[in-house]
Amino acid sequence: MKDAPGDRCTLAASVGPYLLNALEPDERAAFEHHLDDCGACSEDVARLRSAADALALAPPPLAPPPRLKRAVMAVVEREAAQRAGAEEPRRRWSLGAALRARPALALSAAMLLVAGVLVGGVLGTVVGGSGRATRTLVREATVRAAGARGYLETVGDVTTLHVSGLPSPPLGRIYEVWLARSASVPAPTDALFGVDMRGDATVEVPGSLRGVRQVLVTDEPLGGSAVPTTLPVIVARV
Amino acid sequence: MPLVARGDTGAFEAIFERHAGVAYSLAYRICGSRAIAEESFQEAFLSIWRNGARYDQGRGSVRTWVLGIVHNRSIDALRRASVHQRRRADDEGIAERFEAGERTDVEVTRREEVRTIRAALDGLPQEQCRVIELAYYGGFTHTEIADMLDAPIGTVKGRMRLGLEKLRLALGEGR
Repeated sequence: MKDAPGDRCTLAASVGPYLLNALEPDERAAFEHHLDDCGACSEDVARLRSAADALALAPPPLAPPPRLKRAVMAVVEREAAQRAGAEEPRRRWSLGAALRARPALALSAAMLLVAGVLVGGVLGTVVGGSGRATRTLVREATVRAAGARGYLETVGDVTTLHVSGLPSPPLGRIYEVWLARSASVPAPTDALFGVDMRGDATVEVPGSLRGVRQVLVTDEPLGGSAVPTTLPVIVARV
Repeated sequence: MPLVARGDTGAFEAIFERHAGVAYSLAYRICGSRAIAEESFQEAFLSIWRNGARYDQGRGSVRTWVLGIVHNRSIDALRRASVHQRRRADDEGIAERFEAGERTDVEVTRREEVRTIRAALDGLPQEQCRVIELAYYGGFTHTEIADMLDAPIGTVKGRMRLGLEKLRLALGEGR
């Protein structure tokens, strides 16, 4: 075999670790800088890259669970709609708009507003924009309402519940988010929310999800409850 | 990919469908845990969606680009996990997660591809295969591998290089 071109360079030994992502970060940066100037190492890297790339294809074939696709596509479609301007710039739930559009909602909306004030303005809070998260995790939720969908999105330390197509809670009631740990009774949160005209809502899940097995949503009396009084309408496994 | 860069969800879905299987397989192989693999898999595809414009056709195929992102995300996830989780994925329970149903031509081709590459890896001298697997699937640096194997760093680097050379030859120049 012909001598590899990189053998003429003192850094040629780094070609293998570089292609395998096994250099320390500072070494990697230095080697990449070196590649700009060293034709021999560059040629070596180009020649051996196909072998390193092939390693990605060696693991036994597994099928991803279908829910992963649904979760990813839910985020993609939401972000595409935002890019296209199909949604409001910030999806902050607008009581005024809701009342203008459907005056019949005035009573329940007014009661929800009262609850929102009582619980510190959590009502209707919507987290908009996708952000440039370093880590995003999406978990599909089971929503017990025809045509409704939901998912949990965790970006860094912040987890947000997104729902769409969810009916408004019954008159005089509000949706409440719960955190279920092990076999204990679900713990209440101060996240109380209503939905907009399309049944959409985006609600930040308060607190840490450490040790939490499920995020639940029930409808409760305005102001929330200390223990759930109805069966969950949303269950999201953490 | 240009369509993905312009926010075409249909184009993204096509990319997802085409590469999800091999991507998930790679993520699981690296992470060794379904939960971590699913997290890195999702992170990778959302990154692909958000950064489609960064794809450079001149630097390789879409599959190579996608798998590079999956690899990086999986190694990052693995490094975030505890040291005890940084191990090779065992094959326990793996059989039932193989793709079921009809064996399409694509699937048969894919399985043949896996067999070919696996055979090439298994054909390497054990010490070369070991350092390559520890680095690529284990996310260990050459320094960490040298410590683990109680071998000089230069030896580890040399084994990586030689292993890749032999792998390239075993897989054929035209790959």
